[in-house]
Amino acid sequence: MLEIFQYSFMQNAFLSAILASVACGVVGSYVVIKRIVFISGGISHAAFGGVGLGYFLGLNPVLAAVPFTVFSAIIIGLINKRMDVSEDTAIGILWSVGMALGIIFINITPGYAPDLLSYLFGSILTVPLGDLYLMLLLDLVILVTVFLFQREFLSLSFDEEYSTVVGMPAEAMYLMLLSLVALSVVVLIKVVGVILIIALLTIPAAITRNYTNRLGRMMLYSVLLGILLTFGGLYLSYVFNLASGATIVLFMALAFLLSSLFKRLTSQHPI
Amino acid sequence: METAVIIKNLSFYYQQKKVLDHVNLQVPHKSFLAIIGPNGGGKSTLFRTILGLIKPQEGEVKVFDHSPVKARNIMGYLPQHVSFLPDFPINVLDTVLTGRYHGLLKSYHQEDRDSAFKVLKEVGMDGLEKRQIGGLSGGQLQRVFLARALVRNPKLLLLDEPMASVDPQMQYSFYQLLDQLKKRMTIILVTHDVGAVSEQVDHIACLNQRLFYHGPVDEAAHGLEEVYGCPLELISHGIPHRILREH
Repeated sequence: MLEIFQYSFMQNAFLSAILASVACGVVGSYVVIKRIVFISGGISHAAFGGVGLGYFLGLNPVLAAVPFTVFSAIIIGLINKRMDVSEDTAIGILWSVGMALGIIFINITPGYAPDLLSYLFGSILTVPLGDLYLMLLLDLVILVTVFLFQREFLSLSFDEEYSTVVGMPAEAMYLMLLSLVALSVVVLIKVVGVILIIALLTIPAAITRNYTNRLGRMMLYSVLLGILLTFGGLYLSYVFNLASGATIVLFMALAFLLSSLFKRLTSQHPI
Repeated sequence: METAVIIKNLSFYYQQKKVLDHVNLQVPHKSFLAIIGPNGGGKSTLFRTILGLIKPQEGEVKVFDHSPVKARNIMGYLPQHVSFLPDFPINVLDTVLTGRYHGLLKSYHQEDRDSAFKVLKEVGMDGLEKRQIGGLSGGQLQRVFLARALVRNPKLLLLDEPMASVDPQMQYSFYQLLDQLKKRMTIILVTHDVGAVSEQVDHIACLNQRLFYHGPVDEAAHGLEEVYGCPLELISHGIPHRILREH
């Protein structure tokens, strides 16, 4: 098994799996407990607009996705809070507008877009070193922000109205949380692609939620589980020569299924 | 005597619909006011203007002479519904602690935890600090949220339909607790349940978009009829049960 590590692309793949797991374990925990899975799906797909914009401007698409996705996240958050549009309508619209913008930008860019599909479906085996540094930086920003604002994020996730009542700038905190989702999305783009990001943001946290009642531990376990499952999925994709991103997602889904069955069989008190 | 809340000419519209219509109300400090009225009559909306969660289109609200937003740290609020997933990872103590929020980036100190323990004991939830919030009964949950409202030692306590999920036995001890709290703070309770008015209440206000009555409990019967539009018997809690004047 260990012979795969002699390839530098494989080393990079495993490093990006670790960096991706940090983001999806930490931010994914909030996504799951605050029930912003659908919003996060919208943000993930909107990110493709940033990828297209990057192509158009001749920049690294992942780098261009950072401001674009954060901007999209804030727009989605503000529409939710300020306008009379129903939340899931707004998300549905932005989901597709982001994708459509990405396609148009790539359309009008002269030349051929070589690795377009890698942004849609992931290409963990072709993550360059520069992207790894970006992922590391984004992970650090995420970790520092979560550490600093842990009280705010917990209170916000539990009871947003009461957070305002006790003097928290709840709307700003909500937008900040969505921005963290945006940053995680960018970390995950090359790993599993825009379409499958939502699986990594939800499955590890959804599994670990059943095994701990403390949010901090839930995040730690989600990160570790994420590493385990992405490594496992990556290894399986190597062995069976399958698309890496999709294999990781299916492996995670299998783990979720087994975990739910285990919980059902060992639980003595129905919840 | 200090006035806790002054509401002048307050009107609130939501999507062209008038929810509150030129409401005038003054609540003296350390009194216990019950606001009664039908569902949809604007009771929760009135609370939201006092808390500064919404801004009225007309009129003004003053809490201890401050604007609602500035007065937030001296107000405690027990909302009608708190919706959360049953397996949300937070325990009783941490839920109450969120009521002690100091500001951005500021952590909770030992005195915050001491206050939380103290107030949980006061509502009868001591010993259950580490229990997950999802593992509580309706009555226990209500007590935890009351503790959250009390933990900052507020001067004004706002209770929105506090008896909704509480059985009659616990309603009695709840009102006993409110009787104690009345010595330290102003209490405003809002309910659609006419039968919820207890003998600890000083004044009643009848609200259905407009304020129909505000005064002592004994004379409230007529005002309540106007608000509800039908003859009522006003039954007061307490032993023995008193039946007030019927019109």
